[in-house]
Amino acid sequence: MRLGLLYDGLYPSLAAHLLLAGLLLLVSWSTLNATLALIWLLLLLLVLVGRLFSGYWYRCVSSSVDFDVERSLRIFRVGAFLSGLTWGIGIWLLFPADELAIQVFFAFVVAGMCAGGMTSLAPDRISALLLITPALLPLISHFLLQADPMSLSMSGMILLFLLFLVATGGRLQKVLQHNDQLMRSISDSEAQFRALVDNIPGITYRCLADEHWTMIFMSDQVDPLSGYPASDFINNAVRSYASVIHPDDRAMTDRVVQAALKAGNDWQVEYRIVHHDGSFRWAMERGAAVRSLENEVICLDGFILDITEQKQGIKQIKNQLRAFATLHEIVSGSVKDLRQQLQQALRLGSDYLELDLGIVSCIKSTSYEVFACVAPKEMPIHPGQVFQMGQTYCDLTLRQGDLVAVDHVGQSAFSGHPCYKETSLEVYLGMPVEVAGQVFGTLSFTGRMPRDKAFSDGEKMFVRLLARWVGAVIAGDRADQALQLNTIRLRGLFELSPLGIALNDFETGRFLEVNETLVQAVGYSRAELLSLSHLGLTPGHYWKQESVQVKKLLDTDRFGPYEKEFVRKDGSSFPVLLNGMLVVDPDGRKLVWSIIEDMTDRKRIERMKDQFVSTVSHELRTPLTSIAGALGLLAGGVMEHFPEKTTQLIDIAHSNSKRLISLINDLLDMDKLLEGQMKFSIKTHPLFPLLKQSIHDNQLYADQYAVQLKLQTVADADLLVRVDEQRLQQIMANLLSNAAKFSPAGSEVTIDLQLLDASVKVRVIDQGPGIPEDFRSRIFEKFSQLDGSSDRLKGGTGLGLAITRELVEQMGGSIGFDTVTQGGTCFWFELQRVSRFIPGNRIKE
Amino acid sequence: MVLQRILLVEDEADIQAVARVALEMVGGFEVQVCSSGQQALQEAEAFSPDLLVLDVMMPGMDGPDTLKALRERSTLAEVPAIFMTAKVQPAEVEYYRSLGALGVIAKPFDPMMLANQVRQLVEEGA
Repeated sequence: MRLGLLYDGLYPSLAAHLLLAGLLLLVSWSTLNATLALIWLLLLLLVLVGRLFSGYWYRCVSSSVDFDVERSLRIFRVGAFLSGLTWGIGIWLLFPADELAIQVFFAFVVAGMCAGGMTSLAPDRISALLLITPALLPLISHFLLQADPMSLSMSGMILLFLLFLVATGGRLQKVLQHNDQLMRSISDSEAQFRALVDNIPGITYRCLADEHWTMIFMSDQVDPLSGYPASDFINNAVRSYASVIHPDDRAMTDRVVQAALKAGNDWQVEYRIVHHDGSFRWAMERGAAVRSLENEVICLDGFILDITEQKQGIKQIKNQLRAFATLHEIVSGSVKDLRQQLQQALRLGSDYLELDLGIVSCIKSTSYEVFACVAPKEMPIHPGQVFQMGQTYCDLTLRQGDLVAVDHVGQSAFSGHPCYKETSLEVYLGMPVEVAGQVFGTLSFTGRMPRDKAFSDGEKMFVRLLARWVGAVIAGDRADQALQLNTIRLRGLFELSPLGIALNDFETGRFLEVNETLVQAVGYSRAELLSLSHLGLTPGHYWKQESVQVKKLLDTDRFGPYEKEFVRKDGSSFPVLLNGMLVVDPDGRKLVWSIIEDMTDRKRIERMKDQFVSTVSHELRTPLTSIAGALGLLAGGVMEHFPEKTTQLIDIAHSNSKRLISLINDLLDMDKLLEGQMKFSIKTHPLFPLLKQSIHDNQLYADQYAVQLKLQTVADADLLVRVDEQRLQQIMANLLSNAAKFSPAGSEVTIDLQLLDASVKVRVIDQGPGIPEDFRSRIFEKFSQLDGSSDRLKGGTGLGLAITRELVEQMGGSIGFDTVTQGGTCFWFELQRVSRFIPGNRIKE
Repeated sequence: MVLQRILLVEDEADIQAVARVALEMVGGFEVQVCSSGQQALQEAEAFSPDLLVLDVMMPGMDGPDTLKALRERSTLAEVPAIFMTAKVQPAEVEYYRSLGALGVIAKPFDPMMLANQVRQLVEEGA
């Protein structure tokens, strides 16, 4: 910077040099050697032109990046020295002898030049010394050489002047240096301030308190806010700041600022800025007055923030909150009827969206039915109305499968839509409605006037959520209806059930629900019954069994079949059969559902049946005994001999009466077996003697068919089984008589034994025709007989094998048959073998 | 002991007839038939039977009661007895034996076999 000052002073000082030189030559021309004077002038001009060039050179290089300060200083110092030397040479050559006046003039000119040089070269002391020392020394020496008192004092004075200049130059340089530092620190802090201002997220300004907001200073950030550079506003160069404040906000802004100024406060104000592009942007300004000592307002300082985004965010949030509030109002509505509920929702929805028409539609293939709607009076739309799907905007929504929002149909791709041609509705916002995962229809809002802006995210979200709610409400309504229907049906079943049904609390046993059948059966009123526990209906002697059933209920969640009695209100009791299950209600309470069958009738019928069977057994058997007996005697030829034809008929009657007896016996046996009333006296028997006995007993029967029964096994006294002897003989009789019946005359029926691990298999093998394929699966069923007259002739009731199976199974065995490959059938039954035990020791079997 | 005279106590007339034929004509016994327990009590001693054959199910006095009553007469105390009944479950048979009967003949009986059955039971009991 000091270098700059040196060079700045170069041109004037060169001019001063030239002027002084001209003056010197002019005044002293008469005393001078003209030639020498001209040579010196040329020399001086040469030096001055050189320095002129150095000044020009400096101009050129000082702004370049790699500018060398030291070099420029050196060049400047050389220039100064050359100037001083030229002057010194001039004084030395031209100093007039004996012309005191001229001499003094010379001294005056050179001293003036030095004083001037001293000032202009103040920034660099060395340059100043290089200038003045060669310029003054020849003058001092000239005066000194004259050696007269006057000259001597002149030289002393000039020397003093030189010393004085040198001293002054030092001080001047110090002042300049100090100034230099000061300037540098000011420049630094300004740079810092700039950086600070540039980094503040907003605009800093200083303005006058006038109606234009005339800016004294304004930071560049005003550009993005307003679209104009800061320089436009500073001193209202192009426009005033007031002019970009939204006209509607100006008065308010002024009012706020004036009030704050009056009160001596800071102010904060929000207003809109009309941006260069025509849009609005929101600004928030904080400011304070800068006042003089006399408390006069000098200017205003402040800070402006662009809050457009926050404002938009707040607006969006407000909008969404309003949507939520509306949704909440819809959802928490107290209306229970579905259509009314939907209508209310549509009304609130269309109010919120500021649209005319709201519809929930039900869509089936191509028909669009209005399910619920709100519409202005002049638009005749009502629930139940049916449209062609393609004529509604909703077909766009269904095709899209998602939200469709059109804020100006006429200017959209849908302007050719049939609905637009028909209705010229400009705004459409629609969303599919799903019920239980299936498309039900649509929720749509439409308006007649185009909107000035697109639907916001909040509005779209609102419609999405509302559509979801509508789907849920419709699904809920359907479920309600189904539930109601189901409940009615179940209630009907419950009340009309011929079985008593009760729901009891598991802990207390209290009746919680009872049906009419139970109420009727116990003779209590419903209310009385609901105040009782099931133990209140149970006779005391059942309480032990009761606890068994409770345990079963806890272990398996079920109890029963449990036969007990219930005590009626009048004290009488009746038999019941209970079955039930444990359920847990949503509160975790254990409940018991019971089906209560009144067994009174069943018991009575059982008794009747028993009596009937008993009657049959005795009343039928007694006359049959007589008939069969009488016929037996006749057939036996006890009385007299009848003609052959008569004997034949008597034989037929006799054999059929015997068949009738065995039929009745079988029926009675079967009945007992199935009822579990057949008594078995199970004892341990050696098997072999029993089989031998059966052969003995049945050979007579087999003889009728000329069939030989044969036991094909060796006696083994250790082969024991646990059976009812009589029943085993019955089993054997059935199997042997069957085998004999179906064997060809002259053949054998073989009985043998197979010892298995823990059991023994008794096999009865015949040589008959075998069992037809299609009969095999039914052979052990009741009343199963081979069809066909030839088999009927074999006699039998069709119960024999069924009874046999029951007998075997009830004695813990199993029964079956195998078809023998070379013809014939093998019926077998298997019984558990019993080991003969001596305590702690096992004897070989 | 020679088995010749059989007292048959049976309420059913048809069965009486069949049994009488079976025992007399087939078996060659001498048979006195009583239609009830009371009648048997009145006529038994006079008849002096070698064997009593009693039906179990009878109106009024049944077979077991009749046997007990007859046994109280000194002359009849040792006479062997047989029951005729449809109830021939082992437990029932045991019960009849406990009353002092030789055994049981199952109804309906085979008239041609009846005499043999009677003889067999008496021989087994002897």
